[in-house]
Amino acid sequence: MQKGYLIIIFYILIIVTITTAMFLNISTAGEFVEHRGVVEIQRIPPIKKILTDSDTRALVNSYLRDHYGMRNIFLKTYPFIKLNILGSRRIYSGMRNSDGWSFETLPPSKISFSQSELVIIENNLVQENEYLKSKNIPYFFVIVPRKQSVYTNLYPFPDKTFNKKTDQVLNQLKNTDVEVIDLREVLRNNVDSFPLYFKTDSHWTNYGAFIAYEEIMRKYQEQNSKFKYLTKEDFEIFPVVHERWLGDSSLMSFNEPGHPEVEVKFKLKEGSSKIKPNNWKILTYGDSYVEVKRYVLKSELLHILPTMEYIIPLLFEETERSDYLKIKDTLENSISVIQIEPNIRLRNRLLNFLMISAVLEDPLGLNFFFEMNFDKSIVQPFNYPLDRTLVEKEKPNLVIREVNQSDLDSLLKTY
Amino acid sequence: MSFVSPIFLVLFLPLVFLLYFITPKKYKNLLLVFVSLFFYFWNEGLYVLHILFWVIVNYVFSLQISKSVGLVSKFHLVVIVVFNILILGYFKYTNFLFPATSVIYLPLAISFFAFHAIAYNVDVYRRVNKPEKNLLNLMLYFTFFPHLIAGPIIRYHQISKNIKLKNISIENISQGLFRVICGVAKKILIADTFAPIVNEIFALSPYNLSAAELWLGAILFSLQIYYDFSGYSDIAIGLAKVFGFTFPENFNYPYISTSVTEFWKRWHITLSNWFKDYLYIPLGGNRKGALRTYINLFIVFVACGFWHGANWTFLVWGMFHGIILILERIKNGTLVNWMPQFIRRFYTLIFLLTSWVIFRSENLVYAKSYIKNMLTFSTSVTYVYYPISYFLDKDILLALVFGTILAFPLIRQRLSTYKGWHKEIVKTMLFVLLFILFLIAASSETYKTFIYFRF
Repeated sequence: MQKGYLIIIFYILIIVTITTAMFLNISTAGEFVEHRGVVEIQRIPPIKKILTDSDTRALVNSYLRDHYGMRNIFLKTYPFIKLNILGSRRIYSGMRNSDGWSFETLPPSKISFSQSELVIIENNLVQENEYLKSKNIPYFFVIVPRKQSVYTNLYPFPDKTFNKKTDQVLNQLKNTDVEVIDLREVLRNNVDSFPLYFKTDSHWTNYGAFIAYEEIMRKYQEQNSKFKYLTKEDFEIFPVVHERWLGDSSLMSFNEPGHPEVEVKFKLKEGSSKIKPNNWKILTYGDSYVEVKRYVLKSELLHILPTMEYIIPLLFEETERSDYLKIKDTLENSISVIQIEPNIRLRNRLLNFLMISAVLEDPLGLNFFFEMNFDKSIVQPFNYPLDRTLVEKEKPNLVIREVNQSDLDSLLKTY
Repeated sequence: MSFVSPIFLVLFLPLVFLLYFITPKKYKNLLLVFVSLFFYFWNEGLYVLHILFWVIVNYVFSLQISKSVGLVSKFHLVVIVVFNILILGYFKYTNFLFPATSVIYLPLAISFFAFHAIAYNVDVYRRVNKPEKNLLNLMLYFTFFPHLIAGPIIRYHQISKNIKLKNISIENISQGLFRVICGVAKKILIADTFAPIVNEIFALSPYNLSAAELWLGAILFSLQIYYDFSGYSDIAIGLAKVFGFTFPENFNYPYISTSVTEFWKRWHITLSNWFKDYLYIPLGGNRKGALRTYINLFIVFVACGFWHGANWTFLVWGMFHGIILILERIKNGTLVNWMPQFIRRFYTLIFLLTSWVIFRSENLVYAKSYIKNMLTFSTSVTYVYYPISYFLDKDILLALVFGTILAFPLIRQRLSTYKGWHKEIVKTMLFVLLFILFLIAASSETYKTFIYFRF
């Protein structure tokens, strides 16, 4: 045999195996195990669309990336090698401790603000506050802590960086009228009750969101004694034990049975008298998350649809409202609810409905409770400026800007 | 579609191979041009039309340069060189020179394309090669996808024979594939392993890092950029070989250099040669006395720095190299040559580590504090956020060991001792292992864009 054949033969073997697996759909990205989910295309977009629209090309790229043969096997082997064989703690921009708790590592930005940046942040928030003050609407700036700021002892290294920017911002706002709600302390005081964050996820749980909700409402009640909010007594709170980790990055720690995780469910008690008092409205620029997975039940989906009505047109920035109404039907039929990666999600124009790509990700955490407590709860993405027209139209009783510690840079945008 | 994405290696490349080998000889170039333009289009959309226009303008001018003589020929050359520089300048430097202008998008390949175009026309003018009359052939030279985005910078005469007569053989395809996988492994298994740590270190203030961490950041970035770019070059050279082309080497173990002058003979060789042939020599090279030689060297390295990016850090990085090269040249290297080899190697490494810090830093203020604290082993840091063990996971240490060993020619020398089928089997096993490791790592999508894509 001539030299060189062996490598070519093996190359062909690998390619044929993967391509065959792709066409036979063997272990391609069928499982919804990752945070961003997978891209699905119901019909191949027309060539013209591929040639003229960069979003469509990005979509096809993502689709191919998600669906090449045996991808799931490779995907699961990666954390296995990295964590178990190489003994690393760092994976997928995260760090895992020996008990399987995983944390996002430092994002690729500076850990502190400069003085001029702090002034921009202060001006932005003060400006919003003063406008709302002129309308007699209270305004809360809520900082949502990252998991390592609450579970400080579980992070593999002492936490010294995550709070730097937060503390700087708090210090900068000290001498202003902006009402700041720093949730770190109240969450730290509740770490011994139920899990406040998912073990393998950066998001807080329903229980974590509830603690935050209670704190925000308590502060609001200090300003409006007539206001009543839902407390633990208004709910049946019951833990459900799942046989595997729930977090959306659980893949990095193998989402296999044998890793139980407790999820706390809330059910409103019959005849709670405090629901939706006084027809009040709340407007939130929200940054908290409760994941709504693909397997979400139809009834649950319908339950959150009123909230989504405000979210979806905003997430599909260039989508007309009529487009939204069309996909609303699709959602109600609950065919398939897919998350796609953020950069596409925000730019996607629905591709003439070739792709179903509804997003059920964003700010439902706090809103789940706001929905029960307020007559109307309107949500906008955290990085949007205050929409004064919306304020004039809806006349909310309370406006909240909720920003995660890792998203504080969003406050640098000059509004 | 990056060279290190599964889509490229598992779908695009085999498909192109297949088409290439079933296409009759006389249409192979047409297919390669089409595929290359498609590759560019897939990444950059309609900017492909700019590239096409750019090729045609250079084609027309090269014919004019060749047809005319004397001043007329020189005039055509000057016009086309200025044209190429203006296009490069418009996309790359407008925002730097005029910050008030709206942001101009820098499409991929602009820097490398401009250098190919200048080299081609100057070579036509110098009669190094005849102008290519077949537009398709010229288009293939300019747009051939293995080198289009980030080099190596090829001279037309280096591949003109291959454009007309390809050197396709089982051995070449096999060697090419092996080289591609080695490049991919360098990028994904070594460079990208370091990337998150380097990003984390350079995101922290130099006053929040211990001296050891500052050194670690510099060392890891030095290895990251080497394996990132030499990995890319390996992939480009390997791909070219598979299609029957021979590209020149771009790296030759640069970190074993015993002087910075030697480093530039081993690092990004095609770029160094380009600057030598098309800037240093036209400026007079070393033919006009010592002082003029030093000035020329300085100009070349300032240009080299500025070519890497529109940022003061790149400019200072280039100047820094220029100054050291001048010092190394004074009195035929007496300042350096007296030192024993191991000290020269050590001095070169320290210089390179320091200069990479400038290259990697966001601005000069950051670079200054970083280098100051690093070189003085400063203990005046305000607050060290993490112990060094935070950055040194086992896989980082492993990549560091491999990265250091592979920076020396030991493994290549060892592999060359295998002969015949032994060598074949070892190479095949390595190929399969690296390919599978690539698929595993790439599936996680943790790979990053090549650093040189943004230049």
